[in-house]
Amino acid sequence: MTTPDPAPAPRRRRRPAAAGRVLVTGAALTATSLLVTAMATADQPAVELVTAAPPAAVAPTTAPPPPPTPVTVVIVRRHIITSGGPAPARRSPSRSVAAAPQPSAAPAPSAGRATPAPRPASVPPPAAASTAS
Amino acid sequence: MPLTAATATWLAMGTTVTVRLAGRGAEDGLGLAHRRIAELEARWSRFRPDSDVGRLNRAAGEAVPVHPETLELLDTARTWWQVTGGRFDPTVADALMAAGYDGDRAAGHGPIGTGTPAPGLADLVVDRRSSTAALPEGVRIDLGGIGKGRTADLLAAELGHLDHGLVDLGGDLRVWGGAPEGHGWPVAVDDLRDGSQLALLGLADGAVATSSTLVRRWRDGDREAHHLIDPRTGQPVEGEVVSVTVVAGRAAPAEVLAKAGIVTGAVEAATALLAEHGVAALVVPAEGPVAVVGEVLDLCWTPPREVR
Repeated sequence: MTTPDPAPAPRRRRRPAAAGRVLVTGAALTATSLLVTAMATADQPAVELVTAAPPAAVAPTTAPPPPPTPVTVVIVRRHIITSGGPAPARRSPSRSVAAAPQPSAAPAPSAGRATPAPRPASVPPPAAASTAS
Repeated sequence: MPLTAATATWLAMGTTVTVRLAGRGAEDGLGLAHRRIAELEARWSRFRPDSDVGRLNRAAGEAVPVHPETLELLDTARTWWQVTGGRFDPTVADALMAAGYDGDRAAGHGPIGTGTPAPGLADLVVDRRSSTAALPEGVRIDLGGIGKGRTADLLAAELGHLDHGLVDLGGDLRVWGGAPEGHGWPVAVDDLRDGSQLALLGLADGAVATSSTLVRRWRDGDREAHHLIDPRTGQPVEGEVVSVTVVAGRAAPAEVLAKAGIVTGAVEAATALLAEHGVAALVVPAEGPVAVVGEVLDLCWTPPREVR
């Protein structure tokens, strides 16, 4: 009597959902890397190079002095980017909706308020019209 | 002693300008208004190659010396671009031209093309120490709307010593002191859907600006376009809102917020945006009752017939 071979265990098929998850994760990673890139770009200080001559030598030397080496002074102006500030503009020629800034968290300039005038008993004709522009 | 009053109407800044002044020195004030408007148009018109804006638009990224008033206007424009989330964006100039609008109504309009999203003002450089400004290569601006509002505000400041004043730059209005007749300034707001009067405002002081997709329209075959561009798409705005009138203390913010309200598209979103900025406004949908924002009904001598 022979024992029948055990039926092979059914192979588990890779579920499409897993691929979906990979895609989602990939998209998230891409978004994260884009965000990191954008933050790095936003935080990049503007650098201004100023070239100046070195200070004159104090003591005379017998050997001929080396040719003056330019000293590079780096002035760093760091722009503080507050959260919610304008997104950095895309520099590529392809413009997209992403160029629009997020509404700024900074207080908006005041538009001021108009002052109403009491309504006269007899309403006069318009002195002007707010024609649409 | 009779009140000295002076009124003049002339063409400037691509529109009809009316200035009404009353008080001691009103005639001199009219002369000042004439000179200042010509001066500011010469600086801010994008149709003049030698204006600050014309030179800036052609500079392809290079810094251009401009007048301090231009620097201030550029800074103000950038601030409003930021706080409106890009709904107000003066870099729509190229998209507007792509839509066939050339800004000169006498010259008609070109074929309707397809614009691209506005690049925005993130890379605008304003340097007050050197009194220069620079735009990135390929970015052009049109300060026409905010420039007219700013002009009205500047004139109100420079002529504010006069008892009564009204400065109207093609619908961008600034008034102070009430009318010389002893009541407030009556300012009509038209219902552009049917040509009737939507409301009559009565103002002692303040500013009014209206933006609408129902004016400055043109056709190219079976396509139709208008002059208000959504900066996010580069196409003429297609939304539920067809007209926004903003009543505020100053004309430049009123002009900017009226445009931003139109671009927002939906009535609820537009009213929320305008309320956030503390202005009074009338938001007109294509059909149905008008939405009111802030205390606008308190500013009306004749309110809209039907409000929501």
